[in-house]
Amino acid sequence: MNTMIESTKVFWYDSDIPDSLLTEILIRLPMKSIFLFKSVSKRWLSLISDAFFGRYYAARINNDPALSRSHQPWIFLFPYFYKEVLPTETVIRFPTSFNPERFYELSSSLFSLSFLPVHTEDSVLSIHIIASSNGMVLCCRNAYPLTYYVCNPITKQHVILPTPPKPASFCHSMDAGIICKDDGSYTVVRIPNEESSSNMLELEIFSSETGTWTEFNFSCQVRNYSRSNHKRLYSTISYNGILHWAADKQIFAYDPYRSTDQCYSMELPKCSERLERYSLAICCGRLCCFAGGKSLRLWELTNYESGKWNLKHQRKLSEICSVDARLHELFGSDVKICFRPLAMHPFNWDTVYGSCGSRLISYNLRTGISNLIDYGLIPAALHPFILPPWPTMIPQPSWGPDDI
Amino acid sequence: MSSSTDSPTLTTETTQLSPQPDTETAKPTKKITLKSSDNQIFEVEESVAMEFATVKSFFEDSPSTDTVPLPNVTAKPLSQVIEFCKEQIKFKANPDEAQKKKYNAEFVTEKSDKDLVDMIPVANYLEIKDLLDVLNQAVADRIENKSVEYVRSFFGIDNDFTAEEEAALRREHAWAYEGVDED
Repeated sequence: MNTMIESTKVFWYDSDIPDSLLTEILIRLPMKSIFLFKSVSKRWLSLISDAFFGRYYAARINNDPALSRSHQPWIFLFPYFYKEVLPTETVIRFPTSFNPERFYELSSSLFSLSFLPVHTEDSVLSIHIIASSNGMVLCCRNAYPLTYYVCNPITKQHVILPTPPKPASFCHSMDAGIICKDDGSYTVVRIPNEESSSNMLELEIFSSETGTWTEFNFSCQVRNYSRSNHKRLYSTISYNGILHWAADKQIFAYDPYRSTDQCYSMELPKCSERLERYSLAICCGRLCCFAGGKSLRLWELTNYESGKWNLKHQRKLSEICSVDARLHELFGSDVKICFRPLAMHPFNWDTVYGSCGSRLISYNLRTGISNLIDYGLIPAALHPFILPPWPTMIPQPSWGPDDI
Repeated sequence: MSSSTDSPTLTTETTQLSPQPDTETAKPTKKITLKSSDNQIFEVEESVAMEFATVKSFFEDSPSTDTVPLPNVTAKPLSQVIEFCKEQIKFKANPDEAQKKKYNAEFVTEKSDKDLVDMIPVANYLEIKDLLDVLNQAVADRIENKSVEYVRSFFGIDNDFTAEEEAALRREHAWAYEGVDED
């Protein structure tokens, strides 16, 4: 009898918990614990490093609205990244648990780009954050010659891109965007923002798969393609794997995974009032557009194919109010309020962020209530950085190191 | 109601060896005999045994069997699993989500780390989904934000990395090492 049991025991029983069960335990842990536990044993390392595990983990969070809300904390990245300008209220918090009440705070000093190999003579202001997509950040060393970095600020991986074909002295003379896919492959697009006398839009495109820059010229329907009228750096938005940016009268879209030699354009939302600074953002997974003048308007793109915009909010700036004493002096008097919208809350349709003089404020478009976020040097752009459910790993570059 | 789990021997709720006639009620409930890998006999009510999907299908395939052998389940985790399922039957008859949640929480709280880990393959083998969920979550809660060394000792895992390999992993994932709980 005993021998029979022993033999079936070998057949049935694994004294360890099988991989499938261990996976079920581990996916209930916060991302940070899981990465730590790669060091438990070779078996745990291979289980966690398997692409299936990351996909399974992300799917569990993405399929549950409550989990995805608590497990995708976000912050605004300021273009000039140094610790002092990162408002403490917007510090990214690492979830340590599937209980949203328990967070381990990733301090602003931890969320730094100090791992980038900058020159010792460079100041902290020399790294300029340009865009972010899928947990990856595109930044640029703002000194001649421009050096572009793609990095993951959580895992502290980075790559240096080869030198782009067109020379440029400053980050400001070129806009750029990044589209990053789940497998870590990415495309970087450089967009001229200087006045162009021709009808051509000249883009430079870098693909991580080929490791090379390619130049493309697209003819524009608008004469004198120009983005320089507004005298500021625009944000590019990666939405559904397509890069979008607003120019003077229309929105441009470039889809590197559909056709590399075409650029699409889309109408800006129509508005009777003269508005300025049309900007794009993503809110609750939808592409939206906001602009300010005497009032602030926010549209949602309800149909991508037909380019149909739906006005979501419209609020007069004179209605702005605040319970914060530090904002009373701004809004209480008859002084004309100058609010420059900069960014949307990535998960809340009511909240827009912008600058009011030297203050960064949030503005609730439903209630009209404003709150002070930060004082001081307010940048001309803010990039929401959303922590992805599973970190995107940057593939090993296929190109050699650039000599700088 | 919760039974003592500290006792290493079988609880009074399970009878050993041959079936006993049910003397308490006029209408005896059907009992099913389960036999663990270490040859312990457990007599459980049919309704409890039917909570085990594996046992249920065993009976559907061979209804004439009187004893179900469980060759990969030892007595201790089996007795704990039976204890859990007996309670779940009561909640099935009388649904009370709050009470059920409370019981499930107490059930795992009073178990040792080893008890929990030992029950997981049993709950999996017997296909008791609710229990497996409760156990997986309980184990995850106990190792969350703990150190690598803590987790190794929790599961009884030997470190099979060389010092160099471990140092390399630590460098690669330095961010994950920040703010870990004291053991």
